[in-house]
Amino acid sequence: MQTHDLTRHLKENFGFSEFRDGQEAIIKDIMDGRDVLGILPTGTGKSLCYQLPSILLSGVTIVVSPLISLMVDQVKQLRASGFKSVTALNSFMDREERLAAMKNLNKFSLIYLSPEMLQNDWVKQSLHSIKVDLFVIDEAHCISQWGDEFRTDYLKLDQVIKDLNRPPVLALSATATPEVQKDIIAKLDCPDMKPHVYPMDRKNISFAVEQFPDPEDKITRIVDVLKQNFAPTMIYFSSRQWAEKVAFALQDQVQQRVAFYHGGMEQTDRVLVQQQFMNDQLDVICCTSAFGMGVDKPNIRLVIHFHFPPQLESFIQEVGRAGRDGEPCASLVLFTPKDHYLPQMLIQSELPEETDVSKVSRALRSYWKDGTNLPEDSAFSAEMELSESQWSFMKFQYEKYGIVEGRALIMDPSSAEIQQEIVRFMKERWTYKQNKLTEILQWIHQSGCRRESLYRSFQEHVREPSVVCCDACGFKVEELCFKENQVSYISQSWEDRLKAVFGQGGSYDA
Amino acid sequence: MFNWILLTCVHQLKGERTISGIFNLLTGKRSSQTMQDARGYRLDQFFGIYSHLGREQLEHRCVQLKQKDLIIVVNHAFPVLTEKGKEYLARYDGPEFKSFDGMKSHRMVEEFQRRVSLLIQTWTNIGRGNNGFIPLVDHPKTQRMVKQIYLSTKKDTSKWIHSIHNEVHTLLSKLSPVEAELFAYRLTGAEVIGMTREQLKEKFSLTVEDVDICLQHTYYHIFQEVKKNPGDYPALTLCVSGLDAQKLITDSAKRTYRYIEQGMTIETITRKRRLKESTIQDHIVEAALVLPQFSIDQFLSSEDQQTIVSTADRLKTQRLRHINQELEGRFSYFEIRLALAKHQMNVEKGNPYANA
Repeated sequence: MQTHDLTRHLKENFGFSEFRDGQEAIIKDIMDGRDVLGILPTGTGKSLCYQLPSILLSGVTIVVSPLISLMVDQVKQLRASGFKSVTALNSFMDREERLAAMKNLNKFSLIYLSPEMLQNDWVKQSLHSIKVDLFVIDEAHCISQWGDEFRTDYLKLDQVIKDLNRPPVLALSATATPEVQKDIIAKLDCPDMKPHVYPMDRKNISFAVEQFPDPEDKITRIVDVLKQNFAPTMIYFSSRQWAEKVAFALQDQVQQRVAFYHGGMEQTDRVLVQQQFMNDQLDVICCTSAFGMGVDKPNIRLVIHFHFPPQLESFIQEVGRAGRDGEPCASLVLFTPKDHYLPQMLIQSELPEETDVSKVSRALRSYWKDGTNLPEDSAFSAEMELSESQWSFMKFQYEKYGIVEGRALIMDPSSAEIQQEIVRFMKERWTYKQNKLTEILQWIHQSGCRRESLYRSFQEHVREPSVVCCDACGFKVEELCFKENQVSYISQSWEDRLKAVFGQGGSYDA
Repeated sequence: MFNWILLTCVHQLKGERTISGIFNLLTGKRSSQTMQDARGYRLDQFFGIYSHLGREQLEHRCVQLKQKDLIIVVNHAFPVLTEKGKEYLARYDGPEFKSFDGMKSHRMVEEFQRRVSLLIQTWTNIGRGNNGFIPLVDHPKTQRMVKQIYLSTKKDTSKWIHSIHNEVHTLLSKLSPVEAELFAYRLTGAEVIGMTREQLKEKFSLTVEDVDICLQHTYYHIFQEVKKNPGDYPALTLCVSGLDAQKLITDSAKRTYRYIEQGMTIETITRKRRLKESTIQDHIVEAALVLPQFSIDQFLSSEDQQTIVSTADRLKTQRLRHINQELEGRFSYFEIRLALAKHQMNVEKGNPYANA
């Protein structure tokens, strides 16, 4: 397709008059029927790379995405912008809704699916009856065992693609080191996949890391920073309790509008907080990694990590939410010497231990002897005292060796060899995750240029920043002075508030 | 406010039901036991008014009531009012939430609430030319309904916005100031996003339960006023269409009821449906509670029914064990429950619940 045609379609369907870096080249290759690997940083419009083709192609575009919340957000946004022939099939849909969607699969041009849904026989069959013109794998790094968010379901995608008559494949990711990129191509069995890799370093972020003896000191530090800076700010936590606790402390001590956000909140409240932040009714948001999926707020100036994530990839994604408008912004990581315990515990809750393997193996054997099926995943993991992610990790291993299929036992599970193999693999994963953690710890503790060492493993050349680079290169948090939010506290009656809600004049406080 | 509701429940239950019983009542558990309790202890107005209340949350509140010496818990589970608790109820001067009628309308009010908030969001956004907004409500049914309303009012959106503004204003003026404030700050329009429950709690120095209860009650109040005087509230009336009282009976109980109508015995139905006998009995009690036309004479003569009901009245209790003992074990628990259920139905007849 001609360049000017693509630009015309972009304007007609999305209202943009030009493509962002990388989009056009990827879309062209897709329209030529090629397999494409797209590595684009967060916030550069990855999803447009398949949304536009889905409109232009006559058949259906399928998008596999691991995060249901992300999927649902995207569908909502697309529908909101007038793109109606889109749906998301996931386990949260009620039966009626799902039935209605399944019956009309043909009518959609874009279908989002979770990888689990692709393993559902019913879904598989329904997909056979439609013409799939493009198969998209979002967050493709999940397929790689070198990627930290490794998802066992992703390893089955190559088979799904073959079953669907081998449509062109687009694999997308924002964080994939060269080794992960190779792995994606191999695991999807698409040797001719054409890579499009774009730099992920952000020229407008300044980096700083600060150490404190105690978590309480971090709060004091944040209070100081927020007394100087009035601009949209995100503070990341790895625990819900801390997110709430710090939000309350800041509400007391800082003249800014602060709220917390995490996955344990009620649905409506989550939507409200997110929209308040988007709408500049909130200045500071204390959140877990659950926040931010699909949030594209251009003017976030400050990203503070109260806890650091378990790997550099997540960190890069999270700081990447700052300064999407291209204006200067900053990242500040606060840590205490004990902070590595939390991610360590996280790793432990994700991976089973050696004793778990023998325990599960004994249990499987008794089900095998009785000739009965396994209980539901949640029931079985509870019975085995495993977290769901621990069980899904092991289940996949048993599936890999053909012992388990769905909930049925196919083979005698007592082979010592296989057990050893599983233990070995588990240890490998464990080491891998530990290494990832060590990597980010090293990044925190090193004294060289932070920008250089952060992006070095993801791209050959790290670009010259447009702001003061990092604390090793002379950046001082004290010199930050963002003054964007004009907060005025007006007390108002409920009658004024109603007027504001209905757009009939009336001022409002947040 | 929420404390007042809790203490009222404790008072009415007379130490005969556990905290779990209160939980089931407030969250609207659809079991014959809970519905029978709601009727028997005259707490039907609170049935299902707080569907997202957490079990731990309630237990936490009860611990606080205990610490304040407003209740004591006997036999590990049964809360009873203390003298101080009774005094609290007698002196209470907060809002009395008179518009709650959960048994009859909790389902309808939940849907009404979704429609109103989504419709206001839709009208105000589209009124400003903003067609792209993330809906506050996910329910596909609600979304379809609001879309229909929007399409039918498309020609003069601004007139409708004006109207719904006035209607809400009028209705809120009749409520306590705190209810009006909470409600106004909860709403989301085009330029103003509503507050979360947490934020409301902070702003008005309330507990999150008080926030929830006040918001709920305001919706009950509005719902009833609109139903009563649709002509006065044309915009809000659009949101009540199709919301009529439905029979409370569960599908499973309905099936059992049909078999009974065909003349099958409990044993036959138990076998046929492969359920426990006690489950089938629950269904029968449930049917007796909500279906006025259902006769229980095949299970219990009207004399026996009379005996059981008058014994319960005399003892002033709904406790099956006491009634059973008083009648020297002549009747099974099932028979006692059934007689009480039928009696409760008869008392309610003529009152809206009869077809609720």
